[in-house]
Amino acid sequence: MTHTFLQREKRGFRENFIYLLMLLPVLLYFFIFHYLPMTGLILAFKKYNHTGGIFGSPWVGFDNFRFLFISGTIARVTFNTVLYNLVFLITCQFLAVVIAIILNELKSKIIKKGVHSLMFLPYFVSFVVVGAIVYNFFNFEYGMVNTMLRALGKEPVNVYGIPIAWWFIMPFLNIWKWAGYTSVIYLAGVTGIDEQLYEAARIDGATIWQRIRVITIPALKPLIITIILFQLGSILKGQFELFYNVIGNNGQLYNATDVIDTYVFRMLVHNFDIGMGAAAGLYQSLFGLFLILTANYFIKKYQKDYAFF
Amino acid sequence: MKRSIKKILSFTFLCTFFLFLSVLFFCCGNKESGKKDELKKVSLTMWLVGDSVPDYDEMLAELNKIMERDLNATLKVNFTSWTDWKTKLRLVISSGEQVDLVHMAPWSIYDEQAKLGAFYALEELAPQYAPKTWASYSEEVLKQAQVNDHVYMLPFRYTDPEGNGFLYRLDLAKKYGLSKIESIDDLEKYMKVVKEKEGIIPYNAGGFDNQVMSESFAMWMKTWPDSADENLVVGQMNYIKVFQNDPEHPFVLYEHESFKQALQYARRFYTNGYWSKNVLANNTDSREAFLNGTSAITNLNPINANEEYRRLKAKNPDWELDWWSPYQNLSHPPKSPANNNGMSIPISSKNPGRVLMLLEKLHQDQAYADLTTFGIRGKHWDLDGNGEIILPEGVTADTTGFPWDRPCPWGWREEKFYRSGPTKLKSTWPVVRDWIQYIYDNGADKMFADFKFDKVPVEAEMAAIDSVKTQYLDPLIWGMVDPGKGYQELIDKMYQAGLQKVKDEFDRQWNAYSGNR
Repeated sequence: MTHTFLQREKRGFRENFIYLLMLLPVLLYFFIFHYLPMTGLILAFKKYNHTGGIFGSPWVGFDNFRFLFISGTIARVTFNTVLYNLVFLITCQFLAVVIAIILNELKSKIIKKGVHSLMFLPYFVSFVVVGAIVYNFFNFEYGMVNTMLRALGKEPVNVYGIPIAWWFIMPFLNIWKWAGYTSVIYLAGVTGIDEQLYEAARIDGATIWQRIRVITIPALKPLIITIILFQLGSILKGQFELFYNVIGNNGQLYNATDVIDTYVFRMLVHNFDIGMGAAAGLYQSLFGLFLILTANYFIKKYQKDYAFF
Repeated sequence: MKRSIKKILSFTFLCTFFLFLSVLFFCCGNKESGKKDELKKVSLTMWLVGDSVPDYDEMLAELNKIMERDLNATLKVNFTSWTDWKTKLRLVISSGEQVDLVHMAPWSIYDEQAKLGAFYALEELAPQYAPKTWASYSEEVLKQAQVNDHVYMLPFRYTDPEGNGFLYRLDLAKKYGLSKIESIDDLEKYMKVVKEKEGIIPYNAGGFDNQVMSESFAMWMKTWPDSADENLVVGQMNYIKVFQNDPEHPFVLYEHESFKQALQYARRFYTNGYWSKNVLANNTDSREAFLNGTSAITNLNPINANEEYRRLKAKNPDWELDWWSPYQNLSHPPKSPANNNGMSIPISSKNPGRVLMLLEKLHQDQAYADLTTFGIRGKHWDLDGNGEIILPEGVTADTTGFPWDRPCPWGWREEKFYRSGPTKLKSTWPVVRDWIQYIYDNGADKMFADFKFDKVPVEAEMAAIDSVKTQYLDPLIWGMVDPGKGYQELIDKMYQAGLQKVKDEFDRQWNAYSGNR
């Protein structure tokens, strides 16, 4: 049994040698940048010191996870993270599809390109700059919003003191930054749809809405589901820059805007405990894995063809 | 199809396995320890905190010339800048890249990193390679620098004045009929007229101000006891304190009466607009705002106050400046720890011996001290007829390429070489000189600097409390939240995060320590 298995392997290896060779760089990449760093996860169960290093430091069991659960903050922070990312995901994908369809329906090439470039531009603006812009907008004393309000004879508003306002500002900033970028993928999808379908529909007297509803949306569905699935996996990560740069040290806003990344970053910047950092990272990854498995499970149940595995 | 997947999988597995082996092999390579070297040529790397100065490289070239002659070594210097400097230091130390020398202090991350075993212990190495300097420390000083019974730093030999104060414009105060600021109430009056008459934010705080506010506001109250206080847990968590006249009762700063009183002041200052409503989102220090005339106060330590005074004298000669330190009201203001600055050798260094030889030079050779502290003679400094340090002709304090004492030479400062020492220099701002002299004459030495709190049993709780601090304490101390409601919330959250456990653990260690004294 083993003998034949080995023989088969050997033959297969020789036959597909070139293909395997082509696969090598990707494997190497994944190994070095995605699998090797996982060794560091053992630090989540260790008390790191410089003399012992990663492998020689003493084991401490689950002690490093204690700080996450001790004050109950992690529940709120996880809730915030999931909720924000869901809102980000839905609003951003929805708008991206809308943008892609509208751009596709536009006749003038110049307007199409112009609008698209303008929407794409925010993608290149770093969140550090966004944070500064937001500050200059909402600064109580000299900010643009309040200067305008004062000029109109109204009372100035302290936006940094109203946590609820940020439930809307954050998704808005996220859309501003990402919608144009994401729409490129959908635009490619839309352009890929067979032109004949539209022609036939037009001859049958379909209105523009009907065409979009019956042809464009169904054709984009696999793409939308795949992208959403990809995004779900990172629902517990991502957007650190957005929250960190825009909210910064504003403790008042934390109940409304603290996400796992910023919370963990803050705790570890103050304490710099490598073990606790690893523990938080592990928690985050496991939660993300759980989410993606759940999502995949449901998709498999209802739309078998689109599931990952 | 199935078969080829299997093939790919097994191939992947093999690759992974071999790579893993090779990585293990490289990772577990041999580590060299510091043995006595025969002075072959080495290049050393040093990390200092804060910002560099424009002409630093020019100075370094000079320094490397004499270092090559004396020690057959060259030096490379990196600066952390003040943004996220503690994080950067930690990364530099733990990344494993070779670092030979790093600035350390109790207000930096010395205790924490020393506990983690980040540095060479110096009791045996230093007498061998830096004998003069080592012999110059008193037992008391070395005791203060000890962590886990070892000395991991070579402290400077100087006494830093402790405590921040407020630099403000006396000319503005006089303009509106006020006199010198001598208490928090005077400060409030000053801020009030500035706000009303000058139309600027009186204390335009941000950035660095946020870091010091929560620890210092309570001390500005008149109810703060007239006794030197000491932080018993240094590092990020410096809210457990004790007064020297009452060592039996360490306390948590946030539960002290003066702290509660400070919150009332803070709320008033905030509501009246004495600082920005968005102070926590502002990243510009009041120091910079003060220089630019957009703040009427800045919170500085006396050495920095003196430096700003010199710069402003050159920039705005018509401003009359004054400085008020809340510590001035104490009959025995606290002195800084004897190891308030120093240099440590990370274990990633391959040449601890040579590094110590360099430190010996920096401590004992005036040429080394002059270069690193004041720059190049004739270009950045010179001596007048009385042997006092002056700026060369044509150089002014606000345009020099090497502001004295700025690029972190503090770790090897020696009283005997410190030409610009505020008590020595005639051109020192008298306000600061008098204050420092007062501290030297009346200041109280640290009594409990050798108490090192072992954080390990309550690490999780402390991390949780720290996060409560940013979320609830900062808005409260800047008056953004009504203390009537916010204060109880802060205390509740702190106990929820485990403050009681930290206090119990602290009391246990403190009692053991007091019993042994």
